[in-house]
Amino acid sequence: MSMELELDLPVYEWAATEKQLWLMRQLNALTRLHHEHCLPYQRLLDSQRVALEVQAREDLYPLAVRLFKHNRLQSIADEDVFRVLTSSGTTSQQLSRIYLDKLTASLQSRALVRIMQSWLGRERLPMLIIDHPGVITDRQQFSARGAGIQGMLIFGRQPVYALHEDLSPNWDVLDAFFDKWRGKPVLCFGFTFMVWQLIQALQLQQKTLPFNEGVLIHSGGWKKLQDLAVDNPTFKNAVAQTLGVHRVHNFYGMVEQVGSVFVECEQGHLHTPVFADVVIRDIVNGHVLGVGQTGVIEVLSALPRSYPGHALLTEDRGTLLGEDDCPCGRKGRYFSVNGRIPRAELRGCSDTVEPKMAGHIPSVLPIPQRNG
Amino acid sequence: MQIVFPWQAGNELLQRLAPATPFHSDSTALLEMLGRSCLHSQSAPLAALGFWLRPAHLKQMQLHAVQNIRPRGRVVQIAPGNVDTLFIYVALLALWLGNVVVVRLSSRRGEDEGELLMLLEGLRQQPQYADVLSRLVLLRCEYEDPEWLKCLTAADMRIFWGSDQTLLKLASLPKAPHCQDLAFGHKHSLCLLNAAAILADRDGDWAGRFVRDTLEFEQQGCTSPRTLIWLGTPAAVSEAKQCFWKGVNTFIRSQPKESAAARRYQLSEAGAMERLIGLQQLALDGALMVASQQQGRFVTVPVDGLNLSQEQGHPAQGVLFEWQIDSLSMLLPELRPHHQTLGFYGFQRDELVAWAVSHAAAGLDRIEPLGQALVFDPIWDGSNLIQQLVRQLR
Repeated sequence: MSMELELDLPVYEWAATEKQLWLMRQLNALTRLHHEHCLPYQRLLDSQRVALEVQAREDLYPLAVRLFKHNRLQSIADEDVFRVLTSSGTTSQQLSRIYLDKLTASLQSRALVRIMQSWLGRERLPMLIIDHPGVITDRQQFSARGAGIQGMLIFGRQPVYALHEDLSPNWDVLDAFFDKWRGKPVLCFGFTFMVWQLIQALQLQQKTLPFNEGVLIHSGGWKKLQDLAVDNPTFKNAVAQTLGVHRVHNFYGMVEQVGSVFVECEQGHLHTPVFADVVIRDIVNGHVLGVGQTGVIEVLSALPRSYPGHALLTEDRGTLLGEDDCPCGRKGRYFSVNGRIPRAELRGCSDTVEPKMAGHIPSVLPIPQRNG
Repeated sequence: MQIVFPWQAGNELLQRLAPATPFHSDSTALLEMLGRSCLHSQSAPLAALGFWLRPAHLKQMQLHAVQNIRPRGRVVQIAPGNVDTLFIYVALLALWLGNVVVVRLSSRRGEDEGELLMLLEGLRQQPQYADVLSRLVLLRCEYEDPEWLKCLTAADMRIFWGSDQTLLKLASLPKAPHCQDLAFGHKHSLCLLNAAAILADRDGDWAGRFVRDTLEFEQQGCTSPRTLIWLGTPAAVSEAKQCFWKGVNTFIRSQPKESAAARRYQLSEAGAMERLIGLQQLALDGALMVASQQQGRFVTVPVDGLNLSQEQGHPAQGVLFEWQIDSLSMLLPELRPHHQTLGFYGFQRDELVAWAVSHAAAGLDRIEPLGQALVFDPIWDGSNLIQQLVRQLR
């Protein structure tokens, strides 16, 4: 396949016929590419007699995303590894390792720019990062939240950090940022749980910072908030009341498919960009599920060139909500995420040493490339 | 370290315990009473324990004993996490034989374990059982807990269940010179099916018996079959397989909806994910070169022998490797010490036992009829526990 990929496509404008024609060509080419260059992946596909060329997204053979924790899966020579992304899941200490070459890293960055610009516009807005500055200087945490923040920095300017090290609000910074940009469009970004910390602090202080022209982008999963019984409407409501921000966009992504993220629209639906798609599967009986049905989310992406990650079965549950007909006007499939599959008990003789909870939030955004 | 039985006991309890005479009538009475309480349990594993503790079976087990025996003293057991009631069988035998029994329970608290603790606590409240039960201590703790390590060091006998790695680690802990270790490690169990017998008895009770062996503990028990060995010509085996999987899935579907059995036999989403990941991992490693086949609740993978990497990567959750053999002589050279139970259908137990003994088979600790794979026996993993849990006086 041509190693380059045309990314200057309309992100949310192509309806199924047009999108699938383009996307399936990309995905089939990636199946061939990784089959040829990644031996374990080849063994897997060959053992299952998987067709390398399929007509429909449902017929692609997805790799279980957890396998990146236990295997070195790459389709490039070691000397071409440009960056290794790591994440830790929430229930295991084992790290996912994703091997990027320059091309894939660049595709990820460019795809994210295309996606985010369609939500934020081309202008870089003053940026409030809802986290503490140590998160990108502390190497320990860098692979986690830090990388995500680094990835978002390119969409804002003059960034400031809203929290202290102990995650309490830095009121001086917040007040100064508010005074400076009051009434102007600003970009707020943070991980969902961090944003919630700030919201709660504001509520406790009965304080508001009405950034009425602001937009909030947040990610990182709902697990912790669900434990606190906070759902998306509650979250958005609280954000509107304290930060005055009405444009709130969650996004769903994973370190195994950085760049092609799924952003939440005004209707609260996660949208597939042109470079990506989802299939919802019932993994108990192997059926592909349709609109309105809930199952395991399989994510497809045209970006991964250096590792076999173009069709991945996640461990998240989701509901397919529709295709090409979201009231927001964007085309493509849209869906919601309904949490994770509970992890089956690792029973059997390997009973004894239990995995400890790892508190990392995986980075789902590309790290911007520096020149040189 | 937290003692969960007796309830609300302090750690100093461990200092005060002394052994008793083997097979004392009080101990026997306790076992029989616990058995009667378990028989009515809704939980299949506890009901099975109840059946196991019936007086006739206790008498039968007592026949395994040798003369002039005294308890080892303090028997310390680390319970396995896969089958949460397994520890109690060994604990009760040790108790019956007069030992002080200390068990570190798995940190996974199973439902069955909870019910069992309630039953024991109820019996402890009755004076005639309190004395015997005072020799039983169940606790939870971290592995590195200093008090627990002290307890392990003071043991007269240690019984470990766990992965090979865990066993190695445990064996290296300091112990008294006279202390004996029993280690129950990684096992893989087999099921030998006679294709002709299945075809001759298409409506036989093999389906229910197979399902019980396989799914009662989500195939996680060491004794649950993970490889099916089909004896017969390729044609007969192929026909028998069809008949077998149809019968097995019909049996599962015939369980009353919402019944405990139906729940136990159902594949969860989490289980399906583990199964898929396990099979994909085996294929990535090159350990499985052929496609797996969905057979209703089960997934089968054709294999051409017993293979350690396949066995170690087996994801349970209803996966069966299937191997067709023309004669038992093909099985013999494949057997290894970690091959534990051989379930069978369409054979006589005596003929298979004689076959294994006369050929000095390198594997197999149990040869049990289909449906009996999960039944605990005092002869376990090659040892006779009734004899191991005591000291014999010359």
